Amino acid sequence: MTTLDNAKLGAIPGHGPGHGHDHEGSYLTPKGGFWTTVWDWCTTIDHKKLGVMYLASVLFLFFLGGVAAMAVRLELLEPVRTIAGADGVARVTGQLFQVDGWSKEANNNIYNRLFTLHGTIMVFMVIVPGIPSALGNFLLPILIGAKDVAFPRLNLLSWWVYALGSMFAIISIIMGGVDTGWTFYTPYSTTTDADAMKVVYMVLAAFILGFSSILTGLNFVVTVHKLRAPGMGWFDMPLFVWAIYSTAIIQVLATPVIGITLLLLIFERLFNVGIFDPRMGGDPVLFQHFFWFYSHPVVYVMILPAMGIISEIISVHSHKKIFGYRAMAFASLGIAAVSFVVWGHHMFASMGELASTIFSALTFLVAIPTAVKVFNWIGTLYKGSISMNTPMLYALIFLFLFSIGGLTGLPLGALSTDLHLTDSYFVVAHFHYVMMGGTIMALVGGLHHWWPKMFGKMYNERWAMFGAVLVFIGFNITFFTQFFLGTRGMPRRYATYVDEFQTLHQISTLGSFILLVGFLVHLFTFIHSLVAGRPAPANPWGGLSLEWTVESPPIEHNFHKEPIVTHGPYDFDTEIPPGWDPKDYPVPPDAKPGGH
Amino acid sequence: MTTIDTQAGNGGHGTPVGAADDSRPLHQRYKQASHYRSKEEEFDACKLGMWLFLTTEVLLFAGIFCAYAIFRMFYPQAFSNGSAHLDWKVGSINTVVLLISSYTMATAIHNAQLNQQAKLKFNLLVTIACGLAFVFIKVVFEYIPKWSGYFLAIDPALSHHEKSGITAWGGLFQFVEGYGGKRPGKWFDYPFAQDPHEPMWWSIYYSGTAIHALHVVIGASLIFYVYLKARKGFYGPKHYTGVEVIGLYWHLVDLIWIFLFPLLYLVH
Amino acid sequence: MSLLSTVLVNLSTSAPGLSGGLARDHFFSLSSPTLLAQGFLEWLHLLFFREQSRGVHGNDSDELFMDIWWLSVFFFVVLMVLMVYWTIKYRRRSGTIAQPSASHNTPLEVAWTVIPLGILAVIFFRGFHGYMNHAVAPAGAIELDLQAQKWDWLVTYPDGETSPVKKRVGDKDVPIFVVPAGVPIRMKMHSIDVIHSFWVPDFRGKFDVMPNRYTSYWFQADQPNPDPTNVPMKLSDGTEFTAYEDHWIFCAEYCGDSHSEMTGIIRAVPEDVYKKVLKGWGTDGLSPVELGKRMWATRCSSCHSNDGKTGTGPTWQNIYGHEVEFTDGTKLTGEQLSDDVEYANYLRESILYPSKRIVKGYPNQMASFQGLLDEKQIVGIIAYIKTLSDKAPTAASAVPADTTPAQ
Repeated sequence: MTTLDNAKLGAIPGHGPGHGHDHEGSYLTPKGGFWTTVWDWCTTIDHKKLGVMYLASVLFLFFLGGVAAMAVRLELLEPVRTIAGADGVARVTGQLFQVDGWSKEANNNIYNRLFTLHGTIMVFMVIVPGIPSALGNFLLPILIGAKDVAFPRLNLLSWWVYALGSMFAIISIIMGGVDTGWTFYTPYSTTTDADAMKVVYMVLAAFILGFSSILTGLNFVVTVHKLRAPGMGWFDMPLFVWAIYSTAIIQVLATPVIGITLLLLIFERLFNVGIFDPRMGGDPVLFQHFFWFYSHPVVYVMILPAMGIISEIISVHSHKKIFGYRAMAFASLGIAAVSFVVWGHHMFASMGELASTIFSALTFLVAIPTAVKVFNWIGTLYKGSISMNTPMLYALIFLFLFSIGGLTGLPLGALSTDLHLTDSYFVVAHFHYVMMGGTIMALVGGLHHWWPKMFGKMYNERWAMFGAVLVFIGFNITFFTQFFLGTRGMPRRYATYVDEFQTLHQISTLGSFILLVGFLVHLFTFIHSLVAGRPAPANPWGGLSLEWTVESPPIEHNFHKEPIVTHGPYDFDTEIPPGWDPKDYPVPPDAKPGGH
Repeated sequence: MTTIDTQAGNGGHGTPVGAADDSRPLHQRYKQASHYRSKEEEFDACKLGMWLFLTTEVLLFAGIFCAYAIFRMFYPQAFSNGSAHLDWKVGSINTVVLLISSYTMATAIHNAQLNQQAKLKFNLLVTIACGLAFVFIKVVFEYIPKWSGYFLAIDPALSHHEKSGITAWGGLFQFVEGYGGKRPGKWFDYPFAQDPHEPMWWSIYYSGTAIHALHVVIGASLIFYVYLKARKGFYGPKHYTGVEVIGLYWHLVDLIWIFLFPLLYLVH
Repeated sequence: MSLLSTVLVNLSTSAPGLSGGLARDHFFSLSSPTLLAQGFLEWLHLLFFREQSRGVHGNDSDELFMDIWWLSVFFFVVLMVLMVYWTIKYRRRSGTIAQPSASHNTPLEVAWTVIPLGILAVIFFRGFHGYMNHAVAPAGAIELDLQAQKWDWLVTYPDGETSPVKKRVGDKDVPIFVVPAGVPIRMKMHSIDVIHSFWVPDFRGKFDVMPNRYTSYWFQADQPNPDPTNVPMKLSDGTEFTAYEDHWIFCAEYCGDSHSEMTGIIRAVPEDVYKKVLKGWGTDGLSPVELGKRMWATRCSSCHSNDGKTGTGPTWQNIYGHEVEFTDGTKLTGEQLSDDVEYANYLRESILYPSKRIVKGYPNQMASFQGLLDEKQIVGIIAYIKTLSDKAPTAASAVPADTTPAQ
């Protein structure tokens, strides 16, 4: 039985936000007038406020990157072609911007800047920081029973560094943006826009954002090691904590390498140092090795927290212990470890045979813990008590889309098929399935799952489910067609294409509109919830981890008294969720403690 | 296990001070940040955090060492030529300077543990001075001559070169013909280079030593911050976390130089 | 081998014939009423790949891909069916909790770790095997030199010939490289500026083209399936030939503005026809002006037009005898550029040291051709550009701008 005695029975009126027992108010309660509140948020060391600020920026930048994506898809509706008009004059059609006097190259240049923008924003400013910095920051201390992260002021610094990095990116965009692709391959990135600082600013932005990632990761590792509440051993932690921990380890170890790589790239542009410049004896492939040494582990930074969220959602909404807890925990660590030795699979078309063979073999290895996780999640559903709501729907959507993403990684990991598929739309489809179909779906699902906790308001379940369905349909139409584009020969990063690809591109663009509407529905639902949603109880879903024992939204110091943990986070077979009436949650008379 | 009272007073910060009439020195009045259960826990957490940060610094420099290894393998002659332009004596002096600073830094920690406040402040100052001396020697005896050809008049290396008679800054600097120009250049012309790949050597030399020098400056600034706190009596036997973690950082900065120095200066 | 009697359903809105012999506009094809399982597999294969691989070893990788696909479909369907079935079967009913069940099952977990590992090992080995076939060229392969630049391909044949033939695709002239079918061809590839990648989707393989070293990629084209809309090709003995098959070359590594227009065509012809084609392509007998025109077509036309059209670089029309202004404010007057020596020096400098003086209104983007063009070729270019000017001494017989080189 739980001995947590600060559970709030949230359904009781008068106990919503601002009406805590100590009349302390929640973390959201303003401390004074408008400017006082602004200053409070700008200088806060409260992990919850920082999480909310990260969330707001991540969502804003997600829509910004999405606008760039819509522009890209619009351009791809038509292959650019010259046709003779009725007056006999040849015209170029299918261009994004039909400005008089603009050459095709100018149009292509804009397209190139748009897809670079989309990639840079989405990778560095949305998906990498997204779940760890937003949801991770908010939840990690609460999940382990702590009052804050290990270094709260460092956390604030992390946020301002993130803001600074994003600002440099915005400056670069205002100066015209860069056209190097988010991967900044040399020698193109060291020679393009030769006299302009915009490339330097964008690379600097990524460099600075890397520091935010490092500091957050560092903070989280120490937090998990040092600040767990009494009674919470390593194997009593919720799986989201394991996920964040594994992610933090990757962030600490991998990010410095991209730091030095980008720094050397900046030196090369400013001072002509020539480490990657073939004209001076440098090696452009060295850049690729350095770059992917970070950028492959970073995709696991993107997906591991998402997997943690899915574990939480599925077990809570099935009221069932996650199947194979230890396997899941070790799989997270295993994925983090193996992620460091597979970077070469991005370079099969530029490396020698021996290296390619080794990397291909290791790449298949990383598929195993990932597959095990999918099996475990589905196994959790068995004999559960599944409540179908938006978070659960998103978990199912995640399983569907992420499985496709993972399975399409197989022909990319196999050497002979990869020689055809690399740098084609097949890769674009694959990574959108895992990054968007994986991470973003988990982020949105997790947002819905923890929204009541974070903001003390419920959202409209029907609208949210409708949005989820639109997103699911739109996503598949947009990106499944791109697998066929890739196998049929459509290369990536193409502003124009030969006619035979047009039909598939049109279908893909159609899907992207449906996807956009789905996300707008979610945006609207969230805004409506903040403004007019009904107050949320402390434990709307019946979860057993520590966040469901505190108020919705929590007080500033999270807990009134330090919690002592006496049961695991998924012991649904023996524990009654805090705040739930035992009548709603009977324990069968013959159920044995421990649940085996 | 005791529960911790949630005190709003500290606002989650460290460095709280007790009641106004408490006249004990700061380091004895120190209370850990409110989200920690004990001073020991906070100290352990800070040390773990600093070790993790050191790991990231090692990985940052690892990129440069990796580039060094690869290009050395490709262009051994160029690396040998480039390295010959460096004066191992100046590098050795810098190494000794940093080693002394590491010694004084370690001693400072020891002083804090033994409540030897005067020695603590002295050792911190010497550490900072050594760090600044390192940067000074590097800039004045290495970078400036290579970029511009101007040597400090007292530089012993001048004796190896022909005097041109041109001076600057009222005779403080002497110009040596043909020595300058070894800087990263916009048109990467290195007229003195005999091997076409020597610019690669210089790129790695400058990237490595400049990023390292930046870390020396950052480290010295942080030690200065610690010194200011030490002046207020902030550190003592029960609380010397700041000195300890900045000491760790400084030792790493020294260690990186210990690796850079032989690779750049000694290996021909 | 099943027969696909096809009813072509054209979902594309593109004008037929615009892509010439490569207009494969049909999106999918429905088999005849005798829809055998084989027919379905065939259809799906064509849905993925549009047609069978047209190069040796391509079929192996297609087979591996389809095998992985079916394996994935199997596991995916099993997982999704279980997921949906259990979600519905164990939906929450009020007043009940989850039934007791095991929280882990070691034999099951070991099984579903080891079995996928075995399957993946098989996939790895098959991929490795196919890859080694792609990587190692057979002895006796014809070696072609491929040079990639922003944004064009140049193939040099064993005896130094280069291809003058182009095909109009959209608004661009795309180079055609004729190769003999059924013979292994090895490309020795390098780039003169940034990284490019040579991809022939029909052959199912690609490899990056680097600026600091040579990389190699080999293929062997299948005997041609001629497209009925093929335009006849002139051979050196005067005859015409239509039984060729064209394959797209795409650049597959982002390289700037016209990365998506860096197309080329590999034209597979029977071996005897290949020899006849190449005979007409040598540059030995060409006059300087003709050689210059050939250089323009194969090396310079991707950025410089010869008829006044704007492009990435200044047009070659009307350079001789006309004033040119540079980005640093200096200029060369028409009189200066009417002096043959000054004109020739200016052009030579533009080819070998292009960043020294940039024409106003253009970016500093041209790579130097030092070491890439020999004396004869430079002289030829200088001579050719002179003929493109209305102020050339033999202006009366100035060659009119001709943007479609003879095929």
